[in-house]
Amino acid sequence: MLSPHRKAIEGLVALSEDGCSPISIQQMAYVAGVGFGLMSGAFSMINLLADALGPGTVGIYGDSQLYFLTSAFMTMVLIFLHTFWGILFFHGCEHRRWWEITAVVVMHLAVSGSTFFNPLYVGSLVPSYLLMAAAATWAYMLSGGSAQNLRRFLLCLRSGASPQPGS
Amino acid sequence: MITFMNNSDSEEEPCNERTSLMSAESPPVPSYQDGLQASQAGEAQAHRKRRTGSSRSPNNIADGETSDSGVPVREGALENEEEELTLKYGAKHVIMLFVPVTLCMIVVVATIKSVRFYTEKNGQLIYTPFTEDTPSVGQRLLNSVLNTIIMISVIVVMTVFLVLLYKYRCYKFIHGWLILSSLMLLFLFTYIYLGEVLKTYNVAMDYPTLILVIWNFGAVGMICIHWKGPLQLQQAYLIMISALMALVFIKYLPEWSAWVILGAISIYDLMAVLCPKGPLRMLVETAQERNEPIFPALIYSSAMIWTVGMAKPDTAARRSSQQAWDAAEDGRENHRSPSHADSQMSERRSPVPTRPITSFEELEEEERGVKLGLGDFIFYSVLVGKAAATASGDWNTTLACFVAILIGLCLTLLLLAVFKKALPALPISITFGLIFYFSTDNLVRPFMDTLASHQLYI
Repeated sequence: MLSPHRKAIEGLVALSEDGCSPISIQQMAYVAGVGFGLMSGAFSMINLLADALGPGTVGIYGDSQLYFLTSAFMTMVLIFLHTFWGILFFHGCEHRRWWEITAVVVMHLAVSGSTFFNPLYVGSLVPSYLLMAAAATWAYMLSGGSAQNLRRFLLCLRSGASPQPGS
Repeated sequence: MITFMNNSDSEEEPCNERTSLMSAESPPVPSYQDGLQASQAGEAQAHRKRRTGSSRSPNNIADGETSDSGVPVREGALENEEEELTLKYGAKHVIMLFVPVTLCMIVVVATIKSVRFYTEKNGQLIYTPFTEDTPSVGQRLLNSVLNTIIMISVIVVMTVFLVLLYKYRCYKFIHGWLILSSLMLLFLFTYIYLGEVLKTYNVAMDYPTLILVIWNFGAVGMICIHWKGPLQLQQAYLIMISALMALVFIKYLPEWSAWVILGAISIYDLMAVLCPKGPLRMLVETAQERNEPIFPALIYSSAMIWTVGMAKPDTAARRSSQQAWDAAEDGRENHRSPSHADSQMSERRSPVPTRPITSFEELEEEERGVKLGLGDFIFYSVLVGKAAATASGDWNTTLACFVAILIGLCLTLLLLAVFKKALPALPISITFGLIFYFSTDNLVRPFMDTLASHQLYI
């Protein structure tokens, strides 16, 4: 698993301008995750959006009237989840933690499986958002975040400085 | 609408496109050490005039001689590092090509989706005489293959003709040809396009206004493309004429013929640029021998100016500063205006400390950028436009083809950095595009439709 990755890094280094890899592995994980998320979101939503422009009434045949709304929320949660899963997956591959990879796969299955509850949206949206929060926290921790960092960020503190009233 | 063109039209020359990516470079300063080959690569230009004429520009991918960082090497001692450096270039070049290709595709797809005219069948071109309205599938397939053979042979003949013209230095003829074809494109096709858009949105426009608008648009376009003008304006015009040309192809090529032609053109492009006796390659080599610039009307250049700075052994970081730069190179890119700093960045490249740089004394400017032939734009847009027009999967297929083409372009640029010579830009992108089109339309679309109808997410 590592040697193709190493070769990829070597290739990127060879193509870079400075002789060093232009982005770090964490950034690469993030970009990969965002890419997956965007493609997944685009493919889910784009036909919906195109149809939304046209005439029609949502749920006229007894389907849920919240179709567009819930589709939007579901797509959003999936995009976020893909981003976080990218980070987790790369981290698991980098550090050879197979349980992380398994956790990502199981989470994905769980989220997709929960959509079987649609149109009972509470069965699909709520678990997905909870899983997203969990994945977000996990990915944040893996990327070097901590509660302290978060507090500093939210209070607009500079690193190492004492808290100042509103910077 | 005229359905068939008058064959007697002298401007009807089918063009062969050459797709090529080139790295734009200014002619090397004589004192340059070598390692930078001549940056000029001519391209075959052929015009294809549909009906009253339309021009497609050949594209070649010229090699990235100095596509990347070429720090000018005065002494021969630094040649090795020079070679290494020329391999590197950043994502900037890729993005600089992604943006125009995306813009062209957006224009084409937006037009296809909104203006009915370009999806209506109104006859065929003389280059594809066989009809596809046949009762049996086999007959239809045969007709489309025959259409493709005719089209490709016309293209080959015109390419060879162009190569001969270029070899025997009939520049005036070529210039006249180019000017005539861009005239047609900028005036006639724009007029038709504008007319159809106005019809679609039911907007009334009187003839004096129309004449004023078209005249201004066309005249400024001719000046920008063939003479001097702001770089971004020239780029915009090239994108627009590529989109217009692609729309004409989408309208007048019958369904199956279009796909077979796309496939055949990428194979032809591959052979024309890479085979030793390929016409495009001969053209490139001739142009390189003569150190001549490429006709600006047929190539899109994303010019970026890099100023190679003086050696400062202590600075390791590259500082980029935006400067206005006057067009100082001879004949290469005279379309830059001094005030356009967006696409032109002058960078100071300070050498990395590991290299013993003692030899440069002066500032040298080089233009680094990638050039993509207009035919590439056109055929990419034809593929995506056809996907938008005829795919039953609607937007999924269009999006998939779009991403496929961008990926192919990225890979081609990568190969350009590796091989450092003229490369065809069509094959990889069109192959990916075709694969993605057919697989998405037939496999992914039914699946996604079912998922969407039950609101299942994967």
